[in-house]
Amino acid sequence: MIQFDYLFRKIVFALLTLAVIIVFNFFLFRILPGDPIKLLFRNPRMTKQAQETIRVQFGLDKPVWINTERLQSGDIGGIFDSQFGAYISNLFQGNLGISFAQRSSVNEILAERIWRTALLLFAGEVVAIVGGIIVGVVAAWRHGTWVDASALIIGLTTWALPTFFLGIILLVIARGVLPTSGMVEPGAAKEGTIEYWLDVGRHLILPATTLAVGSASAYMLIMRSSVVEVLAEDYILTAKAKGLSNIQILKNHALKNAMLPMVTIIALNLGYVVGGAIQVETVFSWPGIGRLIFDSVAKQDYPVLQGAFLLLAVSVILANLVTDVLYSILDPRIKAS
Amino acid sequence: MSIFKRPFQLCIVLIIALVGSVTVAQDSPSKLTVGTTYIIDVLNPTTSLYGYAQKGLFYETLIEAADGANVIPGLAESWSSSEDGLVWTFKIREGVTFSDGTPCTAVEAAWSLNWYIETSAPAIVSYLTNITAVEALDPTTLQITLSQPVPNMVTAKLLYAYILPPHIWQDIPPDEIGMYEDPSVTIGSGPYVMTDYQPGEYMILDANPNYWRGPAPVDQIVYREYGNEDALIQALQVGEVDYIYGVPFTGIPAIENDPNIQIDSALANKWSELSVNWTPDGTSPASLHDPIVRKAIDYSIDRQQIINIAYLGYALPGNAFITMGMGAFYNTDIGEIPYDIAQANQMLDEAGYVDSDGDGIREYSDGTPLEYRLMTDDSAAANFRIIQIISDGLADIGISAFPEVESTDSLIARQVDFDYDLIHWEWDTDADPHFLTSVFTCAEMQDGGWNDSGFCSPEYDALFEAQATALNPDERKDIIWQMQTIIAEERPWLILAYTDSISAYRKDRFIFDPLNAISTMKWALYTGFSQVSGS
Amino acid sequence: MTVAQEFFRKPQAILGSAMLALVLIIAVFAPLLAPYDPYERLRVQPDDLFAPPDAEHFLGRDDAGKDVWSQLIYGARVSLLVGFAASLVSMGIGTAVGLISGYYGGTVGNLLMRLVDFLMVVPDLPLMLVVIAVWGRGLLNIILVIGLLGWTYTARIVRSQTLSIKERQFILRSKSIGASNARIILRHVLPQVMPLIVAQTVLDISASILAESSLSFLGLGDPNLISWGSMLNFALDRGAVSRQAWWFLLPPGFAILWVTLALILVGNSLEQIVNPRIKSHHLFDARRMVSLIIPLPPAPQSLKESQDNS
Repeated sequence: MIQFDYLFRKIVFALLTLAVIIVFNFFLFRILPGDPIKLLFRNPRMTKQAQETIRVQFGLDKPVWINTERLQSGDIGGIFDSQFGAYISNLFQGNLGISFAQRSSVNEILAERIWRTALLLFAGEVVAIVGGIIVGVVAAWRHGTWVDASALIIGLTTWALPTFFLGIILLVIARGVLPTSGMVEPGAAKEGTIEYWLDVGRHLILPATTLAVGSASAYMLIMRSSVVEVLAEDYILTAKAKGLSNIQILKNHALKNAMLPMVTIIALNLGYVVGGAIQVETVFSWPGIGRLIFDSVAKQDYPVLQGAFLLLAVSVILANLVTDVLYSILDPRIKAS
Repeated sequence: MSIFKRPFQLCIVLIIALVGSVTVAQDSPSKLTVGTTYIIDVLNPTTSLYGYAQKGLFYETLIEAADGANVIPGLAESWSSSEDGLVWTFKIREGVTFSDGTPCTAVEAAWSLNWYIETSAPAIVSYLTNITAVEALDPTTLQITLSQPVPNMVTAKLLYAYILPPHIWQDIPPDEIGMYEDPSVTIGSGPYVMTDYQPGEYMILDANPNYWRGPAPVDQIVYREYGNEDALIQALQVGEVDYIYGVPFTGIPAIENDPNIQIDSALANKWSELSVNWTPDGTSPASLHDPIVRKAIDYSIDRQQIINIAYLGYALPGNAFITMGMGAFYNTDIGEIPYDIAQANQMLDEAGYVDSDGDGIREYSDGTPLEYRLMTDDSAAANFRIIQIISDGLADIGISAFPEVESTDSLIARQVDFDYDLIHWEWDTDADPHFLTSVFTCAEMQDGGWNDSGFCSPEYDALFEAQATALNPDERKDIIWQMQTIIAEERPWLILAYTDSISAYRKDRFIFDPLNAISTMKWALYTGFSQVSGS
Repeated sequence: MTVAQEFFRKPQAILGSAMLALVLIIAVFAPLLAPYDPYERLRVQPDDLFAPPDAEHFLGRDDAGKDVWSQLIYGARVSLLVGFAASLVSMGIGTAVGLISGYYGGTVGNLLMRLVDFLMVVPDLPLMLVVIAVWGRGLLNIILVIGLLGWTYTARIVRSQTLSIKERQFILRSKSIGASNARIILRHVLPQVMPLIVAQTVLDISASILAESSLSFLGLGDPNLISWGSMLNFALDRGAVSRQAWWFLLPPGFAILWVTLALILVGNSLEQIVNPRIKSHHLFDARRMVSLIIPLPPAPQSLKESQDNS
């Protein structure tokens, strides 16, 4: 059926993009300068023997792409006994390697961090979407008045405001009133208890607000313009003449039409929001993946970087796929084509 | 943050001294929150280069460092050496256990020392040179045999040889020891145990109830990590942390008038230096191999400006590589390095480095312009300010040096490969000069040792051996003075400044016993403890 | 009405242009306008660090004792330079990719568009971080990394427009008289697409400036150059917050805001004029050309609507 065809194409594309990202990811980190082995132990006083052991452990003793030696000796199957081969096979086993800096498995580190960033993004986006929709609708409804004008001005200004700068401003304002760093007060509450989550919530306020403001302006502007456009249509006048209330008009027509652009922009915004998360996590010391990436860049901890990057890209691809699915449900044109 | 290449008592001390006194209500558990920009690199004591504060809290050694170059008994109650200084006997304390309940006796101590030597534990083994045998004669007697007598057996050699519980470590294959990161690596006989650790966020330590000196007065210590130095100050200001050591100088004006905050400063074994690469096989230009050029560079550095901008006045101009904090070992005969652009220019003129094409940069005899790579790490914004000043000075004497910033790890890799020209570092080290003097020996050029400049002199090496075995303190001091004179003339390093170490704490919550920055926790802990009973 | 006339009838366009002109003048005439040369060295005392505003220093002094106002002025140069240069790179690549994939279509065209989709999906800032870590800090590297990641929007627009143009009469006629493809693209298609490219590039510049300031703020900029982002980096790291040195902390951020806003206003106005399809569905969003992704319902061109687009 047509709809499945569309979905199928989207899924295939997503998988293809994934494949490209996987290869690109490996490649990117193999062109890092310097010998990674020297960075493994920051104490350079490591015996040659210990260095070799570590080299083997991290698989750095094999050739990078394909193992021509094994190929030449007739061992076709051994062609992939290389770093790249190890990377791929590890990937399929779900093993992302060991962090240079922390000596623990990258999987563990990422699992720890990703949900914190996810929490931050989720909180920020929910507030942004809800806030953006409400203000956008109000502004559109009051199109042409000072309400609309101020919404527009504020929206534009917050859109142009660099995320990290907004974070700094909020930091300065709320210092002492709200927690400005970390995710919890260490040791204050046991993990999983209500107090713990309240603590997390308190720490979440400033960083999530910072993220939300940037996105909210985009959502607000889209919502506003969509609703303005719809309200100008002739059939709205007809509906009003028929006696439909404002709320009904909004619900049945304006919002429905606005959903498609909203979904699009939320998806498009995702990559951008991830960049915002890096800035917010740095300013507020939020222990998420953004900060992990930043710290790992400084430490040249490339297993972590590789894993984090892959994880991020995969998440964004998935999110886009979900959006495409939503599209196919919402957009009648796609069904019809 | 200032990254220490080999951080030492500095960290340990301050924390503990603070821990010694508590004014909080005794019924609720007392908690000291410490702010830092970097808690620890790895937990494994055989490889970690940071976290000396925590290591001092988890583990113990036979002898513990006290203030300055003084020491106090640790796991060893007393010790004596044979007439020839080759056999040392230690009386080991009884009744000590590791925090997991297993006994800690001479047997475990011997095992630990032997294990470090056998497995060449990177962070520790360099201290255990010249040891031929370690044996537990019985559970309370430990015997160490040396290949030759050394002057610092008591003052330096054993201070970092943490006594570990064998059952945790003995089954690990030697190749895997360095990578072992299980939380059980923190088990020792010390006053605190690690109960929670989130890398990059926080570490929670609880007082060891079975500690042989008695449980510590502060029930819990929490380390919190922050993204930048100023965040530490901000946290202290709002009371999110109680104590920070290594206070960034730029933050001092923000807290010096705060009635709730107490600042302590001490001239510590910290210094700021510019490493010059003139390794024969390195990648630096030939001109850097000329001592006149190095001298001219030295004269072009505006040390006072560096002290004003980077350290806000909390430092002294540097000259000798042994720091002022090392007491008598510091060679006071070496004069202050003058800031003299005119003289530096004259030196270079006379040595034949002229600017023939009029572009403001002098040329080497083969025509290549004098251009150097000038680098520092990105750990602190102040570092960049420092090399900007150095770069300006070099421009004044016709040398082009473009300031660059790289990550610490990248710079270390460069040093190991001898692929650099000038790198600025901030370090500190322990009070005994043995380690620091070893940096300039030829031996440290091999296998990624600590020698970063390529300086190698048989004369210096001979002096090094001599000081390592000179039992007479005055004799040793003289030798070390001689070594400083050589280094000051050859200039493998240009010492920029000796910096104070500053700590600050909330005096509305804790009383701190003012101590010299180099004391260690145990000593400070129990001194502090005795003073708190009056409050 | 010509584009220019339409442009200056829009209040947002006038405002944006005025804001932009101010910054450009300041950047160009920096040496004349700045009371001090911030790149010149200065001998200072500890008291000079973070000195609050006074008669000699309108916005006070920074962590090295240098005049903040002068840095703000000179900072405009770097921020604008990077913004323009990076966008030039984006414009070049985006136009080329868009023209080729739109005109030739086929497998090449498809592959190129897949590349565009791929780059759009990959999050920008993490990738920039990693690339800078690999390549090293430096002005050229920043320009390249921002430019190499920012061309996708231009490519999309150009392709879409090329697709619709290439079926038009004058193109087919040119082909029939034997004009080469290259000639057709350059002489016929490109001029038609140019206005769209210009509008999009203006918006790209605003995004590039934001990107540069983020990178500099994170410490990955060229430390020898004074840019608004690097000022914020020093401010935060060296204690402007704890010392409440708002004169060092706030102006650079507001400067970035000012320029970005100006460019968005101008770019958005241009877009509305040159891209007929989005005239009715107005999107202020700097980098989101939603209209090209979802086909829009036919838009009624009523007078009321044009006036709504303010």
